[in-house]
Amino acid sequence: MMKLIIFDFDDTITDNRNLDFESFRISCNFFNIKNPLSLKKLVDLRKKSFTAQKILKSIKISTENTFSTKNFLKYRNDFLLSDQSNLYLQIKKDTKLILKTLEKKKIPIFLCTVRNDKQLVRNFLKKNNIEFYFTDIYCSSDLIEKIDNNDSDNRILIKSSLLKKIIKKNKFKHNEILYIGNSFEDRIASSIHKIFFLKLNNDYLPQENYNYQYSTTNMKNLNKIIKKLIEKDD
Amino acid sequence: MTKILITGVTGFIGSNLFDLLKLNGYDVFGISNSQSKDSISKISLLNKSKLNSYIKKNNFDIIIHLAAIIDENDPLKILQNNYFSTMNLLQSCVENNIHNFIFASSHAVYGKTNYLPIDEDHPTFPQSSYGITKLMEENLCRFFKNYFNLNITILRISSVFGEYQKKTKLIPNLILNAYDKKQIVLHQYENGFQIMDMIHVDDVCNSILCSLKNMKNSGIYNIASGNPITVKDIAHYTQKITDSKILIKKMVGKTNHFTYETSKAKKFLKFNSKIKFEKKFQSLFDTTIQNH
Repeated sequence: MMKLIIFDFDDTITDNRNLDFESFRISCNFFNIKNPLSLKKLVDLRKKSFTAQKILKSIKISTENTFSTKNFLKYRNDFLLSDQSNLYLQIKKDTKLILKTLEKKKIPIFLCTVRNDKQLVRNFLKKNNIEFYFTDIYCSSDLIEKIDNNDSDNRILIKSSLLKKIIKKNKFKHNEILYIGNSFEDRIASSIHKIFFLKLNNDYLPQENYNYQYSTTNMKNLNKIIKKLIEKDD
Repeated sequence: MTKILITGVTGFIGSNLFDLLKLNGYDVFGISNSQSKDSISKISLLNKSKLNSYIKKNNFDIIIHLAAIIDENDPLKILQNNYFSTMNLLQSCVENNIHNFIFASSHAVYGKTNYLPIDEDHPTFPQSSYGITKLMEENLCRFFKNYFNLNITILRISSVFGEYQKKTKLIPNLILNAYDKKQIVLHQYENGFQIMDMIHVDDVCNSILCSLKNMKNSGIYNIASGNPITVKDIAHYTQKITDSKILIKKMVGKTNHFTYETSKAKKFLKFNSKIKFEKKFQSLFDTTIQNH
């Protein structure tokens, strides 16, 4: 049934919680601020859909110096976009298991992300020895339009535009393509193209009240679902 | 010599197209609801009998239908006028054995953008009354094509710019404000500055010429530059010349980004947009100021 698999990147094949935590810690260090966030507190806030800006507001950073939220967020964003961030970005357990399953069945695997820097993504894949599993990587920099990826509607537009490119390039039918992601944005982007969507639920991000056809919480289970979806064709 | 009728011949695109087709050796006639001179006649497209007898008398080979009203203050007028104008024209084509018809539609038929660049297969959910009428007219064209076997090319034209455009339009308005030492006010929406596609009027006219030469490849085509541009980019071009200050106004709500896939027009109409916005801007600025 499924002949092409597309993965989202952040919080789908990666676990971003440590990176997120470090981004606040390193930024606090830079601005000489005592970091009031614990990893647990950060996870709690993220579960409630708090953005970085909202998190900063909620933790009420006390400092004698004049504090600029704008500068803090810019420093944090620069860190997230730097190669250094790859040190804290972790691959999800058992991701390789799925990639091997797909490789055995000769199913092309694509990566689709709203990130701008493809090299950063490649470096992460290389570091974890999984780059060769992927047929191609599509980043927001593959679009001629420079779309701000900090906005949710824009992220849907970016994902949907990238999915369109992948679909156009690989002439599979829409019902032979599965997109695996972790957010409602991924779901909407796949529904635009009428391709299948599998939600990888994440205990680090807010839960969505939506009845998904395919969903799971871990890679091991995802591997089982994928095997079934591929074998439907055999 | 191919005999062509242009509706809306005194409009922004029509007046430029009239000259271009004459230059290219066509026998060009026009109808307008505002003036008559030489080969241009003042006829309302809503006056079916007058329109039909004019078309019958002239024995045209091709009709290029550009006429439309855009007045957003009266949406019902737009619906009635645009729909029945197109209906009368198409009926007249059937009655007078005119098989070739080019319809100037609009990118407004797409409505909310699902993906970029927007291709001709993108869903059509127009949001404005103008976009709705254009889609209704496209459907009329499809009906006449299928039922009466007319050869119809539909051009979905993006935002047009060019010299001598109405002052109320985005670019002349921006240039004149900047020239009068006013601030350039930019709207920044929650999802950023609007990303758009602007095509020069000469390119649009050229696309119609290409359509005429390739009538055998009738179909639906995006006519756009294929180059994304934001209002912020346009303001920066203006600022370079006028040294005006830019004021960014944060807007509540989101904007709709749009850019277009143009490969179908390249392949079947042999049309390629050639005029780059940034290269044309200085002359656009000068003519706008001269005509102020």
